[in-house]
Amino acid sequence: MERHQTTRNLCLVGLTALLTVHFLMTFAVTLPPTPLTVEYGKAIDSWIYPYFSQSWSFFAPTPPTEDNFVIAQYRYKSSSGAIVESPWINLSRTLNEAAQRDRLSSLAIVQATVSSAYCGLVKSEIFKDGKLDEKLLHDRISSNRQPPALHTLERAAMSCYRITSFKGAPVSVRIGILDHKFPRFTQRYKPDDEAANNTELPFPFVPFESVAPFD
Amino acid sequence: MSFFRNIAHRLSAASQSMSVARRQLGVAIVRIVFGGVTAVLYGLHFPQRQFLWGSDAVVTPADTATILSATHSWTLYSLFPSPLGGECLYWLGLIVSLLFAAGLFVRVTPLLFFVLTWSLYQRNAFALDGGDNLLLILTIYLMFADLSALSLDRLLFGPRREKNFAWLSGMLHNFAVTACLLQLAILYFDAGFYKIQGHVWSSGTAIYYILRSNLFALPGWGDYIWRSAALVTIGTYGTILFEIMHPFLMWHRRLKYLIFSGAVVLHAGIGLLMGLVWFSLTMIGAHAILFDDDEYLRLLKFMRAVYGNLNQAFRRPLVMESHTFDPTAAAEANPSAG
Repeated sequence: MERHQTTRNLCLVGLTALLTVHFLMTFAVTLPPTPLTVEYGKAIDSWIYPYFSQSWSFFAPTPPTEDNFVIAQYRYKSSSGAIVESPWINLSRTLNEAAQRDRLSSLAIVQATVSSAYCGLVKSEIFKDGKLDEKLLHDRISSNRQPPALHTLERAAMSCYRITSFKGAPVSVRIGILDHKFPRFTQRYKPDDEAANNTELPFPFVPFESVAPFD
Repeated sequence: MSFFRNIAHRLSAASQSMSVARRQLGVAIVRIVFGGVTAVLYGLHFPQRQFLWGSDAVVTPADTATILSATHSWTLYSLFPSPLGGECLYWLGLIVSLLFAAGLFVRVTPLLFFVLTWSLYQRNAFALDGGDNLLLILTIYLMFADLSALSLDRLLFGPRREKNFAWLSGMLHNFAVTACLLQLAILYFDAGFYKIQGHVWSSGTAIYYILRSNLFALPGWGDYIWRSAALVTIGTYGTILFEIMHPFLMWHRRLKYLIFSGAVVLHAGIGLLMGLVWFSLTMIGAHAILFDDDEYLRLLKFMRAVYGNLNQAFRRPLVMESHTFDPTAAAEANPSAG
């Protein structure tokens, strides 16, 4: 009986120690870097990743203060055989409006995929200090090693081609980033001019690929 | 010596107490919500499964492999990359989610549920949001919990009978519950901690920018909020206050009700106004673990009483009876009135 109780006590102590260590590690990985986490970063990462990886800085420290749209432009073969360049299509706005019309829309996950891929793109190795490294980008595209986030956005655009009004076999596509600054809080009563306060960053054209339809 | 004997005695009392599984109903509700939300995900996106997770998906298998290599992760969809393999995994994931929600074979389904849901999200990591992240982490902890309450297992096979290791099962369950609670505490602490460092949050205008952004706007509803300085300020500071208070008040016997109410309001608002419906459901569902079994049973008793009263009120007909006063009958009925 006493041995049984000793086993129980040891289990309690062991599990408490395990829980304590685990949550100290979890706490360390979720907070900003500290001298302790820099010193023991490898040990903490090997404990936490991949199963307990987490980040809870929802819209913080800075929430989105401008609109970041993913836009797409297509080159397609017209009926006469000529290659036509389409105007820019705002993919993000189309998906956002679908989600606004129906909060349970199945397109919400497509919207989330595009939005996350955009975030992944601007954090990828082709952006240095917020600026696009064009040389690195061209090197990556020519060797077919563009960042997964960029390739995902290109493929999302390819999948959306079939719902555009363009008639013709698609040849290539390029995506772009359109940043739009809407009125600041102190000027919130001003209407939002969609054509104003925009910065665009186009990416090179890439050949069309086979992608499953998104709807 | 008496000091050590005292410690040993307290340790024995603690281990006895921790050997009895608690909050089984709360944990069961979390199981039902997580399984249900994931099953809905599979069902809702069934027509899009090829686009999101198939062999010809928006994220190519090669890109998934690149991401997995960087994150030291894995997915069963890489092990079975063919269209048939992907289709089988998808159907298996849907079936297992339903079994998990219903509580069938609860000793096995939590692990299967984790493996298949993990695989799904790792196949397309861009589709993963904060709610899915919490769901996966809590599922790992719940693998060590007793999920048999409110389950088909209990209905079909009766209560679980542990022979020699009931105490270990109880202890693991209680530690799993504690882990879930600590995870919730860390989540909200971090969320609040990062917010107070942001200028837009501390100036009380963050809600305006979030609701005005095209990604999270809801025309006609969100406009009403972001146009109002009062609502923007209350919403911004209210969110920070709630998230900072949450990890501390959630342990209090009475104040946790306030935290739960706050969580429902905050996440319902996020779900409706910002379109993050499934994220919000997952977050609200996770809070079911805050309450112990007695509290759920009291709630059930209260709801039964309310239902009983309503039932009676609607059944009893309203009849105006004519009545003539009979003094003799009245005197016989009440002799003391004299």
